[in-house]
Amino acid sequence: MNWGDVALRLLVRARDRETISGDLLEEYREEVQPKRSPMAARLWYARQVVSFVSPLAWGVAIGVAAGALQLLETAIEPLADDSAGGMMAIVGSLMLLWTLTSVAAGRRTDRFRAAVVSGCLVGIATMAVIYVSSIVRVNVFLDQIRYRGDWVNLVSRFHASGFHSLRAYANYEYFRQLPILLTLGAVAGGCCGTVAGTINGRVRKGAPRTATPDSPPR
Amino acid sequence: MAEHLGALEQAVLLALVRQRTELGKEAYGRAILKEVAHRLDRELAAGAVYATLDRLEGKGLVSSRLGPGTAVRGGRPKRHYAITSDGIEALNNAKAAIDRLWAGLRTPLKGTL
Repeated sequence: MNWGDVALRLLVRARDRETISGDLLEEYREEVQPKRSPMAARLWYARQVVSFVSPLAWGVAIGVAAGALQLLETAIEPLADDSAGGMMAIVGSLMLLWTLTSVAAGRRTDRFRAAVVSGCLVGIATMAVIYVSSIVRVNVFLDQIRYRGDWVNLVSRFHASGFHSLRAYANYEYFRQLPILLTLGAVAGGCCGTVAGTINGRVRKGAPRTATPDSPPR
Repeated sequence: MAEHLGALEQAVLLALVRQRTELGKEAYGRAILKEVAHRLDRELAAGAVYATLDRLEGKGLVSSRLGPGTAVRGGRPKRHYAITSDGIEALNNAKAAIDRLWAGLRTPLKGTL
């Protein structure tokens, strides 16, 4: 069993594992392998496997990547403030990835609504994972990042709050931001999904159409 | 309430209705995928068609049963699909809705407004 087969089995329901992997293996052996180079055949199989990844799983994957980057940056330079340019690049990258995911979801079903729903889901999932990584970051690096310039306001609010522990207060503040963060993810993701649905519609409109074939395939 | 069908859902159900294709004899995932891609005249990712079949089965518009595998599949079984009477009704409703939209218009449409 190769990695693609293992990934496929993780992505589909237990009921369909054998049948879907059998279908793909049959197509691979009968149609793809004889007509394509080994690399192109492997890429075809990988594309089929990727097509089973749900928007939610893409959202989690994007969130894990962004969260890992955030933790890595903090580990390297804990006192470096988030620059406006850096933040714009991150937000831009996230929205681009959400749009691409939604384009794929919309194309899969030929539905505008699917692109929008996919955008919302991927946005919420990404923000949820980024939230978890932020909590980890606060708790692991608190002793260093409490001296960051962009923490001045939080620290002064802590002194006025009556909390005895900065850690507890920072967690409380982050916890309060969770609904806002998830709503932001849903709205921004929904916007990306709307853009994706519009792109799909325009591509469909511009695609050359041939007459509906009457003969059976092959 | 009448079941609303998306374009891909209709394409998959129509593939299951056609009797004169290879599919008429053996409507399993791979054959459905090839038939739909051929009819839509574009390449489709496997995940799209299997997700649609799954959704249609959840709505009760198709049913499925397991069949034996073959050597080329490594002995893995096939899942055969069939359209249900609800599926036929949903397709008829979808066609009637499209016909109502086009009623009174001469095709092909010409020019721009």
